[in-house]
Amino acid sequence: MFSGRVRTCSPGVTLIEAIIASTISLFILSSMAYVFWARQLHTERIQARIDLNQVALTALGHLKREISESNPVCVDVDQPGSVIFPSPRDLSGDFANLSGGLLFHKVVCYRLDSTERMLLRQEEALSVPTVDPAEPSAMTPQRSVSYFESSGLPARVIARDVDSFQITRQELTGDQGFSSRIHLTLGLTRNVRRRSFGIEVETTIIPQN
Amino acid sequence: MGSRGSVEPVRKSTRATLLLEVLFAAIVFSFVVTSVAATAIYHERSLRTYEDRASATFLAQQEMENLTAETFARLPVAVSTNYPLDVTVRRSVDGQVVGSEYRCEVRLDDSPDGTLRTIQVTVSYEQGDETKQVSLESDVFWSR
Repeated sequence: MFSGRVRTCSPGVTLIEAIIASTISLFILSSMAYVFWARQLHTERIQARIDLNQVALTALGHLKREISESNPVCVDVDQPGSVIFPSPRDLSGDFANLSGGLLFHKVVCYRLDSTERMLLRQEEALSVPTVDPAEPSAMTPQRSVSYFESSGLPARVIARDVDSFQITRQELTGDQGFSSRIHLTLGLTRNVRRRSFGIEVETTIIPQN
Repeated sequence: MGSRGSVEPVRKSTRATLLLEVLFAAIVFSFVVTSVAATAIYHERSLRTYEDRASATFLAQQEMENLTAETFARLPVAVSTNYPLDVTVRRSVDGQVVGSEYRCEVRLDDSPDGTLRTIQVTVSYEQGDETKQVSLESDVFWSR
C-alpha cells in the first residue's frame, strides 16, 4: 500500500519538478552568462575610456614640448588641422650648440589625417642648421601640409581616433618684445560596442626659443 | 473521498502563501533594482574620480620629465615661461560631456650653496566642492 502510493504520486511530481528545476536552471545559467557578458563589455568600455584619456594626454604632451621649444615667429598654423615649425633639436633629439645660441636643425609637421583619423608627425632635416630659422611658408620649397604629404618622409602616428585638431596663434607684443601664444585643441572619439566615448584636451603653449 | 478531504486545506494555504510571496518578491525585486542602479551610479562616480586622479598624475609626471630634461641653468627660465599651465579636458560618454580643469604649477627651490635645485610640480583640479592636488618632487644637481 505504501509503496503503491509513492509510485502513483512520484511520476507527476517529478515531471513538474523537473520542468520547474530545468526552467530555474536555465534562468540561472542565462543570468550568469549575461553577467559575464556584461562584465566583459563593461571592461572593454572602461579600457577604451582610460586608453582614450591616456592617448589624448600623451599627444598633448608631445605637441606641448615640441612647440614650446620652437620660435614664436615661426610656428605656422595657417593650414587647418596642422602645425609646422622649426625645431632646435637635431635628428637624434638632442639640443646642440647651447652656448652660441640654439641651432634649428629640422622642420616638424603635425597634421591630421582625416581619412584614417590619425594625428601624424613628420620631420625633415634642414640642409643647413640655422640660429634664425625662416617661417615654414617662406622656406624654399615652401613647407606646407601638401609638401609633407607628398614628401615620402616617414610619418609617426601620435594618436589614433582623432576627429579634430585645431590650432590658433595669438601674437603679443609687449615690453619684452614679440611673443606668441599657441592655443591647441585635440579631440578624439572611439565607439566601443554601441557606445561613443570622446575626449577633448585643450591648452595654451608659449614658444620660447 | 479521503484524498479529496486532504486536498482542500492545501489549496487554501497555497493561495495565502502566494499572495505573501508575490508581495515579498516585489519588495525584494525593487530592492535589488534600486541597489543595482545605486551601484551603477557609484561606479560611474568612482570612474570619474579615477580618471581625474590618473590624468592629474599623468600631467604631473609629464611636466616633471620635461623639467628634469632641462639643463640646470635653463630651469628657472623654463619654469617662469611655461607655468602655470592650464589644461582643459572634456570627456564625453554618448554625447554627455563632463569637463575637468587641471592647473599645473611648479616651484623651484635653490639650495644655499647653489648646487641643487628642488623641483616641485603640483597639479590641482576640482572634484565636487574640493580641490584635489597631486604633487611630485625631484632634486636636480648642478652638472652642466
